Amino acid sequence: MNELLRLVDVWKTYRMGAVDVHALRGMDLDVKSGEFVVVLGPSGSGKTTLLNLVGGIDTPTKGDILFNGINISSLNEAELTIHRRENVGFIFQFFNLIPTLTARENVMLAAELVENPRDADEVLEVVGLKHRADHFPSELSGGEQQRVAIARALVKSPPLILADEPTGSLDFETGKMVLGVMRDINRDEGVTFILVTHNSVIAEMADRVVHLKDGKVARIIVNEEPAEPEELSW
Amino acid sequence: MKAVRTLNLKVFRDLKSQKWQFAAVIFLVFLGVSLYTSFYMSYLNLSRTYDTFYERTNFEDLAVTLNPRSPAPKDLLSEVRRIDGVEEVYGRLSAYGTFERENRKITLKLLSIPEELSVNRLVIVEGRYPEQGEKAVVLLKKFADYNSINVGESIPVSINGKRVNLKVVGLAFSPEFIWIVESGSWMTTPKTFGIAYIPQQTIEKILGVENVISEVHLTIYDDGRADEILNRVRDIFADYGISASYKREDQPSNKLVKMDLDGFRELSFMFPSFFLFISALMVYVLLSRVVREQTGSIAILRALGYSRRDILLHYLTHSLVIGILGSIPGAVGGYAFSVLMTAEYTKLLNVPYYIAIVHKDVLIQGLAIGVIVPLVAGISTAYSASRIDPAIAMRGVEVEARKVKIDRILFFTKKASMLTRLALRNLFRSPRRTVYSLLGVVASVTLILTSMVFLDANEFAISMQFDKITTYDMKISTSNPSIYREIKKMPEVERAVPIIETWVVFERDGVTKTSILYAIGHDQDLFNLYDAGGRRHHPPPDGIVLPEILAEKLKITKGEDVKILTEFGREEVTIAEIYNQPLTVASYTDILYFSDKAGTDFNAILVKFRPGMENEGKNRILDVKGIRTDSIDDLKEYIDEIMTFFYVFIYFTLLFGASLGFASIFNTTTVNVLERRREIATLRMLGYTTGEVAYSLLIETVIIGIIGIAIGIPLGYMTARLFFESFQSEMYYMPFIISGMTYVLTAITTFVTLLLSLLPGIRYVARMEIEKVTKEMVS
Ligand SMILES: Nc1ncnc2c1ncn2[C@@H]1O[C@H](COP(=O)(O)OP(=O)(O)OP(=O)(O)O)[C@@H](O)[C@H]1O
Ligand SMILES: [Mg+2]
Repeated sequence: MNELLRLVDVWKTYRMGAVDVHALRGMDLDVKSGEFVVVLGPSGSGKTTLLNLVGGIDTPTKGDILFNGINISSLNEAELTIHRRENVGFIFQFFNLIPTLTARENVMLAAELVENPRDADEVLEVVGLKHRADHFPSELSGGEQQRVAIARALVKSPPLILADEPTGSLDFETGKMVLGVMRDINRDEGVTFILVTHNSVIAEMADRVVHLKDGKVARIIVNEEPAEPEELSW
Repeated sequence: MKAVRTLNLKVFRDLKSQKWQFAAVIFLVFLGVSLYTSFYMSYLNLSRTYDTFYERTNFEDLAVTLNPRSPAPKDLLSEVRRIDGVEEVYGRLSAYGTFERENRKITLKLLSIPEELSVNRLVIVEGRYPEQGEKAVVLLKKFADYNSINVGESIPVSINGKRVNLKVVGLAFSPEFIWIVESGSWMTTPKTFGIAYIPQQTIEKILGVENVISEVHLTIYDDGRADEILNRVRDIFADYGISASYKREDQPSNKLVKMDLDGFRELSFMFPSFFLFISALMVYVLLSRVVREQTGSIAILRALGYSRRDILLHYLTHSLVIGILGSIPGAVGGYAFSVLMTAEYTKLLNVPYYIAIVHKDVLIQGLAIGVIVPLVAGISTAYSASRIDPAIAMRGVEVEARKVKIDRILFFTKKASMLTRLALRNLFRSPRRTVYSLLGVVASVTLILTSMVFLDANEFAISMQFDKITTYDMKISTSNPSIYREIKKMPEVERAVPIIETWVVFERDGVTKTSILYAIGHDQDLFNLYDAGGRRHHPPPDGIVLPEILAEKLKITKGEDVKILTEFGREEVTIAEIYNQPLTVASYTDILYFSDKAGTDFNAILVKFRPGMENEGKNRILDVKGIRTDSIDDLKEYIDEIMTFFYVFIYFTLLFGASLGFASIFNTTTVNVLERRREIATLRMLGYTTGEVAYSLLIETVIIGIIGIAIGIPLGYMTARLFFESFQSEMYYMPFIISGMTYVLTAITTFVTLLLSLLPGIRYVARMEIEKVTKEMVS
């Protein structure tokens, strides 16, 4: 498998008045195309920051982030926008959907950004929500909202999907179902996933598990035989 | 662009999700645009109506009128024609006649016409032009209609004691009488006063004179030489006693016409500016709130790959939609309103037609203003939306650094309940929001007060005029002492008071100003002198009272001497006092002081009848030959008629003002509630009842209301004053009067508006599905 992403000594420092908060302190990481990577780590260890940098909604203070060989840390705002538009699908920890648009419209919103998007209804079907397409977010359950977010990430058919705690607010069954959907997409379509979670059980389904601690990679575990989501229990 | 589709859908969903707030802003844009287009188009159309009417009829540039009792030989006209720069000349004889109709005595001013008119041509709308020598007249159309006189009818007119049957052969409009006013006199009513055009030869035969004229009207080639030519014409007739002379701009009817026109033009800028300013403010408030609420959504959009420009345009589209939805109906409505206004207004005038063309440029200007104002108002908000950092916004944290400080300020509320404290804290927590709410209240108070002032001032002026200043029943224009004696002896007459009433031209360092001069007795009470504040004065024994507005223009101060020209000739008078009078811009002096200078004892008699004998008295006086009479009641009636239009107009302003106030208060209040839905949801979740939450909102609103009114009333006073000053003219002076009741009413209206606009917010709290809001909170 060829390399999709490479982080070299990436630092992210926030200035809070007089003190510096180091969200990332010299992170190195490689991700191969088609991999399913789970990122684990305690709260505040820099997981969301990592996704934001890779996804191009934030820029590192120091270090290089190479995506398909292109250094995105030196891109300007307009170029980053194109990176986000063409290369990345986001599933966020909070605020996933536009409340005034229906499920289908939320998906369309992403679809309209790219040349050859997938069909909105089709991706909604993939996440099992075709029958809810015309519902507004406030009319959907938390799990359903999260699945719409997955559909929205899929519709652009990006090479990389970044998911921040996609199951955080879901119950066990729903969570497993959402994870199943992601795993299928990863297998069937070769989409690379970086999934952030607190929940170490989820790590069992990953190709590789990256443990973060204090803004650095603490250790990486390779799963020779990743578990199926259905087998997970917590 | 394809990418815009769903995003545009979101614009409409956003508008829909706060439809009342957006509707309120759109309504204000609508009002602003429609006021602009309607007033400006009315101005242009009226202006064009007059211009084409004047052009078609070759309206005079200059006029000199003589005392009709001492006419001048017609031959002098050829001297006038010889003056370099004179184009056309129309000389005529004028005389007064009376006739009876439906038990009413009507005064007819007869103006002679030659075989063919070259200046002040008539627009005959019915019948024909009379033949020379024919005992026939052409009447002004409106006057004939008012008294239901038809073409073909003969009217028995008595002129100088002679009775003549004059056949009405035509009905016409004249550019001289768009408003029927005579120089040096009050407005007249068609009920008792009319204009009739009669062939020169006919009137000469009736009066027993030959080849004489008492008026000359002319057009000139070069307006720049008007003064010079007017002087030369005056010189020609100097020996015959000039009673008035004026340029087109001072021609009595034209002067009124132009004054109203200026009003239309001024309003077309002032009104819309006010509305558009407030709508801009509201667009800003509303859009800021939308953006604040949507920071999460903006972050998502940016993360999905929408560019900063997309976001900027997205929020500008909100403004654009407001602008378009407001200004298209605004322009259309403005046009319709302009047609209606022009039609209604011209009904008051004597014009043969009115022009109501669609001025595309005005429509386009209106549309452009209506679209640009919200866009400009939204630009900073849209820009800051486009600058939102998605990484930070995604974390969804709100910073509240002010909290501690505010709690210290609010120590005195320690004893107050939690809800009261919350209300107070809210006022301080977001000072910007509080300021906007305050601005809404202040704007509303200002507008309501400003429109009420016109009602107050008008009411005051009318009651001053008819209850205090002119308390006589009838005015008789004559300088004949035997008529005075005769009237005085009439059994119905309680009092008869002589006065002198004349036009007057003040001259000072090349500046000339025309006005009316009343010389009145010191110890009579039929014509009284008041200042604009409503205090009674007596005419100064040795000098004249000049209104401020004229004194300013002429740069005259008290005690100075000034040259004046009246129908009695040139004089020099001392300025004894300077102050404004209500309603009229007139000068006053003591009759003893002035009769010396004028060389006449009086030229009008004011009469008060004994109670209950008004009608008999009137009729007896009307039988006296060779006089002109004006009855106060008829005038009052006519003024009421004219005022109806202006009242409707003022009520509309008041309505607009109140709706502007309502819209801005409604928006700031509801936006306030909506912005706090999470907090309110939390309160409700904690177990507070709807009533308790409403109470907290109420406290907040009441405090804003009290502060807003406290600021708004003085501010409104100043604005109203400013607004009002700009409406003062050299013909009428409106005193600036605000009654105590007006303040109370303004405060009450504002408070009621405030409480009403709180209702949707309270209803929202009552109906709020807590679970929905909290779900939005976590998701
Ligand atoms: N905008 C910011 N300003 C200051 N500090 C920040 C900012 N964003 C993140 N941080 C800090 O950076 C560190 C890493 O934050 P990050 O959100 O990446 O953590 P995380 O691993 O996602 O935690 P969690 O599991 O709680 O979501 C934290 O200590 C956080 O407080
Ligand atoms: Mg996180």
